[in-house]
Amino acid sequence: MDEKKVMRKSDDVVTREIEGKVILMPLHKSSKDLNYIYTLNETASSAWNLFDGKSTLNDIKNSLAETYDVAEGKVEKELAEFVKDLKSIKAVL
Amino acid sequence: MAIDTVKRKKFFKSLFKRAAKARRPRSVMFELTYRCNFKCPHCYVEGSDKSGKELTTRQVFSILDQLRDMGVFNIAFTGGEALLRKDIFDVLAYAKSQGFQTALLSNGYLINKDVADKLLRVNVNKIDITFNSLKPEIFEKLTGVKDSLKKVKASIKLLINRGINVKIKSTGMNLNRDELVSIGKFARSLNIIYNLDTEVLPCRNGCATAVLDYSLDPDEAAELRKAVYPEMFSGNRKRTRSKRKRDRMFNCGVGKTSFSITPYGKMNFCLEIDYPEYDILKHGVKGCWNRIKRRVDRLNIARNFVCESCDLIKYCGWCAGRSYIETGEFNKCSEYFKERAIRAKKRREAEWTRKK
Repeated sequence: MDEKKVMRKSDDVVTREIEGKVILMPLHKSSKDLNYIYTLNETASSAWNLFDGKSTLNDIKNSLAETYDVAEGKVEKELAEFVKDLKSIKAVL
Repeated sequence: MAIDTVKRKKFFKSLFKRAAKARRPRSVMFELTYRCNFKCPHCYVEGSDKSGKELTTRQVFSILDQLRDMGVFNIAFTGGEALLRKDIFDVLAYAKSQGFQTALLSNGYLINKDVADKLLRVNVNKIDITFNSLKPEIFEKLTGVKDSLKKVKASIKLLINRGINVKIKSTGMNLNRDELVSIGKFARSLNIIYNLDTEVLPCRNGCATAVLDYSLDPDEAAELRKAVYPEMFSGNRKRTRSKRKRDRMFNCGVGKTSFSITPYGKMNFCLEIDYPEYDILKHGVKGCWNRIKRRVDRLNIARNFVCESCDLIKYCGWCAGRSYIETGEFNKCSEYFKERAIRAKKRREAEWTRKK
């Protein structure tokens, strides 16, 4: 994971919070993808809110480690996986 | 830290369960216009007052903002023919940009290559096309427009070729009874969903001419459903009983998860009735929804609820709204549904006798 990298949410994704669930709604999906909904768990939605186009991945990692009181190494691994998932649905740039 | 990819149907099922408990609206039918290029003799919108002023684009956007803030997730845009509105693509694009799942209900006639491309661009989740016959003369009789079958068939293919989710739907009538199985096969050949409704709705002003003129006999309708959806009735399929409750009048999403909006900005229980017509432009969406909930609550606790001691309840598809159209009262038995329930009971009893 390139810790200096700054990522931002894609304009093609809308975030909604419904019934306590944070949902990512890509605006441009193939009809096959329309059969699926992307939901975020609590830590993922905290991380998602930190993709503000200003914070580096390192900033996000530190913030999450502090919020959840978890070792940075563990957060780094999970964050890298999360970024990979976000990229796969074109949610971050 | 994870993204869960959930099947849409599964997600909605759990979402609606929670929303119904909390009585938060999740699904809205939004009529954008009463204007229509077809003149279907069985159209239920007939009878609505069409002299009002349609919502402006700005007003539609404002309503969509309010719906978003209330957590509404699904919006189906309908009419009349919604594609007759000049701002339809702006409305669809705006709804999408606010994170709604969007559906468009259309007769399909106005969909050419350009329109299909635009519909693809606004990424509408689903388009429902009304499709009542495979015979040009019957189709034209049911739309009042020459060459409409050819045009609508071409529209469906344009949408499919662009990968847009399309569903075709028919109302089972005595005019198309011989074709419903073929229409189902036509949909399967295109790999799209087919929805058959065997009930002709009365007009909103209570006029039941279309029901009397075009309705199928209940037993015939039941047989046709089996013929159109054989997989649903084959094997040891567990028979679905009516889920109607005796302790309340409304068993649907009215006052719990859904409502409808007219082209003039009025909020109603559902598409089938012009009631109670709360003014969204005056009270806001939330204000109208709270009024709807209170209205439904008052109706639900009505004394001497008509179905309370009726032994036909498990066979009956009675709907308070339909009763309102038919009789002018919510808490009244509907002759139409009673007859259907009696027939359903007889069919069930005959089935049991055969099995024994």
